[in-house]
Amino acid sequence: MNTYRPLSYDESEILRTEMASTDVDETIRVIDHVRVTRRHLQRLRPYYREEAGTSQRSYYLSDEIINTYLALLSERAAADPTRLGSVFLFNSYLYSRLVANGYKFENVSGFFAEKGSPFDYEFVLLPISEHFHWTIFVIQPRIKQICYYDSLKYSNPKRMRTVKAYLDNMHRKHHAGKGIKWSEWKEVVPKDFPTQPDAVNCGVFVLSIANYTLQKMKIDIDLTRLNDMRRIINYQLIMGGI
Amino acid sequence: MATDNAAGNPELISLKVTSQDNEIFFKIKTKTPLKKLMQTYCERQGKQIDQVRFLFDGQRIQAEQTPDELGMEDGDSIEVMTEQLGGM
Repeated sequence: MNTYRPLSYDESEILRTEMASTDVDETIRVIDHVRVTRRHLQRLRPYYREEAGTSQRSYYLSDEIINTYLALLSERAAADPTRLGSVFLFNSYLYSRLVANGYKFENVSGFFAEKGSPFDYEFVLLPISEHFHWTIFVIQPRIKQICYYDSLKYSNPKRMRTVKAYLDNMHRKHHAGKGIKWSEWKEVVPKDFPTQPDAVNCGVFVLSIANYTLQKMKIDIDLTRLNDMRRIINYQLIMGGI
Repeated sequence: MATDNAAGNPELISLKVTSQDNEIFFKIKTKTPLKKLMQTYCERQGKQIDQVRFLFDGQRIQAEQTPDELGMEDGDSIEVMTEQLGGM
């Protein structure tokens, strides 16, 4: 199965038709309580360096795109439990909240309460937006592994520390006060995938890295097809399924 | 402020809307969609509704949801976050 196979003619037509309207505030799809409007989907239009100029930022992916696409990936996993591991999704606001005014678990201890323990899932996703750059943590509690993916291949000790502190607090909360024994865990900042070659596509990297990883596939990003990937992600959000 | 409700209207609750800049209190009916609160907040704060996100217990609130549906109680907080973008 090709994770980002090219769109068929009919699919391209659906994409073209949906995106042709100038009504940017129209809701195209509601995913996980988020109204995905055409304005946000437009951010996924293909990016060509030569046309970049002034409004490069208009190609940046927004929280609405990142959170809803990750929600679609979780839904896919929930619908196909024999093939795919279960997914616990934190939204992109969590990390911003964790670092606002210094880390204090009390500030966020009630968050995601009804979702239960993240440690009961095979995968935990935690996307981060900071300084106009998207990155993502993929945590696998069963094999005791915490991975931090940055398409620019930077490590970020502060984020690693903050997320580990939060996970430790969550573990204590959900598992009878017991903390995590980090010495048994593997901490990884993977570098065995292509590096983001531009200044717009980190969001596409984050989404596709999550997609490949949840399928336990090699992160097989073809740098010549980033615009195809933007169109495919746009199409998948329009259809509300992956 | 939160105690006003004890005056006898159980269908009215006081909610605190917090952002990085401030805290604003709203009194609303538990069966009224939160859309109204969101719009009023944005008007008062001079913010565009498309550029802010409302969260309860860390999760997104949809404008059609009511405090009842979300299990909100008198004195609860709604957090406001701003739009996040990333490219480079």
